[in-house]
Amino acid sequence: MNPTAHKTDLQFPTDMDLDGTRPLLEVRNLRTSFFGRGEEVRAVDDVSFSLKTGETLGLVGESGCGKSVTALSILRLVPEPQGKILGGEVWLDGVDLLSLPDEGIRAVRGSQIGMIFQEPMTSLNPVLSIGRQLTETLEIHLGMTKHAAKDRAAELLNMVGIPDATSRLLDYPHQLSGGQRQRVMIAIALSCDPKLIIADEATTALDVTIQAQILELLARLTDDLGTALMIITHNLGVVARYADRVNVMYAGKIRESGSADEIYDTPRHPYTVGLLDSVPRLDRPKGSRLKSIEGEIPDLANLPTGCAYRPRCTYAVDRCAAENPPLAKVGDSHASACWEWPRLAEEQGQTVVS
Amino acid sequence: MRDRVTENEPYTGDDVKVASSSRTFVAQNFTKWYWGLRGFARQRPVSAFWLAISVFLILMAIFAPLIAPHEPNKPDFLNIKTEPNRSDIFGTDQLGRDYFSRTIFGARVSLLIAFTSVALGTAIGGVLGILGGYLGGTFDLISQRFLEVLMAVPGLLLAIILVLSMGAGASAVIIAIAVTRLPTTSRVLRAETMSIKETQYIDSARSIGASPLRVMIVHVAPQTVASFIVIFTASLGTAILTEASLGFLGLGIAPPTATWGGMLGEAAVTLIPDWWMVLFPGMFITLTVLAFNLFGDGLRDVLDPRARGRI
Repeated sequence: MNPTAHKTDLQFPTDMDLDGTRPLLEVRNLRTSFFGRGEEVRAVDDVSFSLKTGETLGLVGESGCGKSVTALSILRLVPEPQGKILGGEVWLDGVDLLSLPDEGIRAVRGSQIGMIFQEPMTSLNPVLSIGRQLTETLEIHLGMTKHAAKDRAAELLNMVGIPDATSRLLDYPHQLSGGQRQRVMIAIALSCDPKLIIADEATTALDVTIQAQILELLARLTDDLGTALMIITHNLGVVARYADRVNVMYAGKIRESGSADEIYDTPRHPYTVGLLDSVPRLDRPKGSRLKSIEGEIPDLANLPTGCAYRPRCTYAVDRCAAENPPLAKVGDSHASACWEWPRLAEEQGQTVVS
Repeated sequence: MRDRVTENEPYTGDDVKVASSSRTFVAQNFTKWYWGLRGFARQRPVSAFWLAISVFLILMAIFAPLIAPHEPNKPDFLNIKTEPNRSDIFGTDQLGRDYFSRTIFGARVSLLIAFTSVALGTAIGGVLGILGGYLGGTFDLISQRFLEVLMAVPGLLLAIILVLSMGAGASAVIIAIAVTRLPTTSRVLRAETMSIKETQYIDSARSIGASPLRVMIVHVAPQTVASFIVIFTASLGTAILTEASLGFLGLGIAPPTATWGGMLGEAAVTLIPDWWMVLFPGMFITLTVLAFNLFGDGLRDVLDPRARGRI
């Protein structure tokens, strides 16, 4: 059960993180597919990455590129029987989550890994009071008495900035605003002091000012508690501000991985460049048109040969159709899955670090 | 007119809460119940009327010994088959027993059997439905096929077969009627569970490490309470009819215990039955079935948010 025993077959991003500290979460060669109508949809295809204690990781990409399924696979919540984790390992603090029995993974969910879902409107049970839903996690994992759990629940609500916590415990979800509900979700995720919090599009459904508040809160709390945070989003602005490291996903694979600075300042994959170009920026000349990536995300059941991004890529060459580029080192802690990254780098007028 | 009331009536949300709250009702939620009932009476006055009739019938059954003027089973051979008069307002039967007292005591048997059998049947059916809907797989497959077999046989026929195989008696009647309630309840709750299962709060419950059993009890079951109450109420009418039919056929509770069905059966022995011996038990059966069904209808309209606004 010791992850170091697997060092020999470590894939690239994991190798790079070896600066003495063992990562908190290591995902290796994770493959998750959905089956239906005789087709296999490879939602997560050979994904490897790692996350250190207290670190914030951004997982970025368009809708349908496998971000959420990656998160669900880590907790083994992929909807069955259509979805299946076909292979790989997920090591959390020396334990392979994918080989745990059902009771084992249930003990991890909520206590070691907290999850925050996208829709605060629907992720709370409408017929149970906020207090009941907050104390449930405490009851399951810490075996707290009702009274103690209630006190702790009020404390948690206070922590996430809901005033008058004790009386709010009796409220039902429909009595709370979207932002407040997401705060409650954060409180539930944090209640057992987990090592990792996965925020799956946690702010997408909220309006912009509330988004900022919620992210600020999440970042501050995980910082204070030393919790690692995985932000899944399609919003590059969110990632730029809060993430230490960024993984860019496309069609079930990680296409580029690096520190937030590297990804933003020196992107080495045409897809990342495309994503960055499609973000409105204040420093662009006035009146210039916003660029978008041509085409649309390919059908995951019928991927093009070679690189899945090839049909939309302006840098595509013949080799891209023949061979799928592996994730290869392009900087200190920076990797890109593109054959043509040196050309991309040159075009951007930057020196290539090899 | 009704539409306007429906639109402006803010109570319905509370009403759903009343129905699905799992706390001890009476003491803590007295106010909630009061407002729930008040709202129900305003929105569905007709159903509220039938609710009152139901409550009246239940009270009549409970306090039967206090209301009945005579012993229900005491024969009086000097007054056989007398027409309704001052002392026997519903008349007397072929053994001279007071028909009014027998009718009131008959309510006890009918309602007791109806409530226990429906409680048993819908509870087991509901558990099967939630388990099957949530777990799916082999359990669902086997339990549903089993229930389809039950569904294929008409309810009364099924009840007759079951009573005959178990031997007449109160428990046999209760079990037989309960079995006829299984398929409907489990089908409805299974379908509901399957749609609840796909909601995000079930995902989020699973993401905090809740076991399947816990998810079913804490998160799925309370959501189905509204449907359950409606099925329960609607089933009462059917159960009373089935019980009366069994009694009429002589398969119900053994004489001399007074049951509505049994009284009708005894009256039907004669070629031309005396009118009061048919009218009063028949009237009470009809009244009870109507009361529970129409109350159940109103309850369904109020508890089902999709049907709201329709009549």
